[in-house]
Amino acid sequence: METKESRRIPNWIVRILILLAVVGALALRLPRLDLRPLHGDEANQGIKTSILLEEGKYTYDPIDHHGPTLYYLALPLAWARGQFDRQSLTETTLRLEPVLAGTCLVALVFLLRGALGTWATLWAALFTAVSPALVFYSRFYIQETLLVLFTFTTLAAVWRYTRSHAARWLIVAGASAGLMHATKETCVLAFASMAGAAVLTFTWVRLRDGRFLSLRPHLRPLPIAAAVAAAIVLSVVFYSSFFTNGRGVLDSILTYANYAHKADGSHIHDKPWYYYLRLLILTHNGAGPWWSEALIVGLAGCGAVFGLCQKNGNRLIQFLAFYTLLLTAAYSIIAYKTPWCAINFLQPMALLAGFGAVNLIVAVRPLIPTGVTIALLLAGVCHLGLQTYRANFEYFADPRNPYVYAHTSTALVKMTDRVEDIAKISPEGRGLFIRVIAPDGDYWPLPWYLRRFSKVGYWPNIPEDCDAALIIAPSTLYPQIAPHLRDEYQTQTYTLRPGVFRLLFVRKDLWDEFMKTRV
Amino acid sequence: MTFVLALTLGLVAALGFAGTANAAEAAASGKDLAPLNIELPQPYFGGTPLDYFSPNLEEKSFKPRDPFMAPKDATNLSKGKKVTSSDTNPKLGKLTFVTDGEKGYQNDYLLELGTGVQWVQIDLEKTAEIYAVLVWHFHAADRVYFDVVVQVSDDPEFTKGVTTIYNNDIDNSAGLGVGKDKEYIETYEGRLIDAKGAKGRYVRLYSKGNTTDDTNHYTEVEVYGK
Repeated sequence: METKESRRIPNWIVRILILLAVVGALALRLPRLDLRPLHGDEANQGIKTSILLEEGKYTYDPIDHHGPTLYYLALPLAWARGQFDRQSLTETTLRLEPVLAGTCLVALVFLLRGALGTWATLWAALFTAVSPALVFYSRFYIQETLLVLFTFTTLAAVWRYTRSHAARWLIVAGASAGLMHATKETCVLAFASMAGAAVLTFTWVRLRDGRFLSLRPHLRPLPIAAAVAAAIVLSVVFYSSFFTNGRGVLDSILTYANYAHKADGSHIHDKPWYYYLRLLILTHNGAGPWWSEALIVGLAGCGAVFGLCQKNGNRLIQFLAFYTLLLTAAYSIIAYKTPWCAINFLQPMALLAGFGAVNLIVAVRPLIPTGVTIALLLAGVCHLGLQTYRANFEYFADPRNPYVYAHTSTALVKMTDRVEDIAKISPEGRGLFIRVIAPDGDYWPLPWYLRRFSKVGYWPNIPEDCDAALIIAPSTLYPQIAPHLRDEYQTQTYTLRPGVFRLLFVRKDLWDEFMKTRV
Repeated sequence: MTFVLALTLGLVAALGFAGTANAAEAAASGKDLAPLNIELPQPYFGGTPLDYFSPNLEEKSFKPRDPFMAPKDATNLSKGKKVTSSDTNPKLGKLTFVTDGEKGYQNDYLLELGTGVQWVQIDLEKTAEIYAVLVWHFHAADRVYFDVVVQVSDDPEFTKGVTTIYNNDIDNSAGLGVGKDKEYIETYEGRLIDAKGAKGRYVRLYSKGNTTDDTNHYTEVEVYGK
């Protein structure tokens, strides 16, 4: 499957370019991982991880949480960094895991070099490395980047198996598929899209080229049995919390009833069908920059068209075109939408975009010199890089960034700093009593940020006796809380999320003592 | 009955006196007064109402602001004057936006400075007697800007001879001292600060983020004096 072009590039140069792509991906993903405050979801998962780290306990929750791989795979990183409890566990450690997953996604593109060709692979790796969304969610402690990594590994390993018939690739594919299941329930969308894409590819080849593709040469019972076993074993190991909770395995199946309900609409995360496409193609929220990954989406479209229209075209590209289309459609049809889900189909788009870029350069050669087209494409890549910088280091928690979604305000970190300030002058130190009142249960990510304090309580209602050293409550509750206070307090307001505020009540004696340190 | 009447008249007289306090002070010093002629931008109708509460927050007034009395010959000294800032590389807009006379709510007139404590400074080119400073931050939505501090000085570095004419930083988080002024919600009317005749060549305005994000914004600043 090597093209004439790719054969002309010496292998050592390709290796250097691979290394550069991986180093570049890491350079965009790794710096200042603690810059952005933890999203409520990240904080929630951080607390679950800290419990697993500290007490060795994890039980799969089929109602409101995803699979276990995120938590378990964080453990080696925490141990390596000498963090063994919730006090020492940091945001940086948590986010290292998606960073590594996102970087692996770039490196693994080279598994498909034989199918895509060297130049297309390099372009694809470049797009994967600099895509603002792929970088942003590679620095986000949620399951999505892991899911994308395992999904891609499954696809790439199956492809490698179909080329070589080496059993190890099918076992890798099975293991990755098991990890997909153990990561997030939405893996079923990827599995369904893979199956649909395979059928469509076979049909397309029959109609377009008049040829039959046959699965028969690939159906080898032993490797297939080994792959299925690897998938089942890994899924069971994780969902059963390493054989300590058998119910988890059953719940990993029963959970789909719950997710079917979530997908049917009437939820605060419901959005129109075109939400993801608009998000990727062009977004402008208020004063601030315009955001677009249209270069990747557009080149992916080119790649798909080239792949499908060429006589006896590239089978992998044909499969990827159908797969990406089906997966995009599946996520778009489901009413429940969150922006991070977009990376599931943006990553295969980046692969198609690599193929599209190379074919576009060739197609326009009679009109535009190759050097000019390459320069234009590289300018587009630089623009993606600029957006990536802005998204991760300037607008990292700013609602104008399209990938920032219901994110914790940086002001909340200031509130935590103020709580630390008060603890420093309090005779009880971090043992001072903190009362959090959250009638609607909206208190995340506070448990993460208050994890180092030993006396923190959460109340769904305003208690009769409301006094405490510190009270944190919605600002709208001030009139209701005030009659329940016997002590005097100084209050300060902090933004939890844009438009959502929390009052910090500091008992007056502590405030007066604190203010002595401020002049 | 006579007592109630006397009390009412007394209260009315006291309120009248308070309402023209700046006029009275100026009149005592022999100046002719007139309302400042302030040109207001179009108000923006829209956006989500701000669900923000703080005991230090001034209650929002839904009435037009009372005229501000100043000496008749007071003018806007800041129009077109040079502006400098703690943020030399604004995220949006240009420093010249602060004194260019454009104060609409549209994003085209907005200067955005980085996070943390940031300031803009206007050079009036000569020492002036300042009666009022009028500042518009971002006013296309309900927002409160934190730690708003306004100072006047003849020293461009603001290290000596500094007069603070407004400070609503209750915990000295901006590091400029504790202030007793109120936080307020931005409107198209801007914030009018009574400078009480403070003298200085430079006017510096600080803030430290707002209820939406950590950045700092200015649409326009007008400095009235002579």
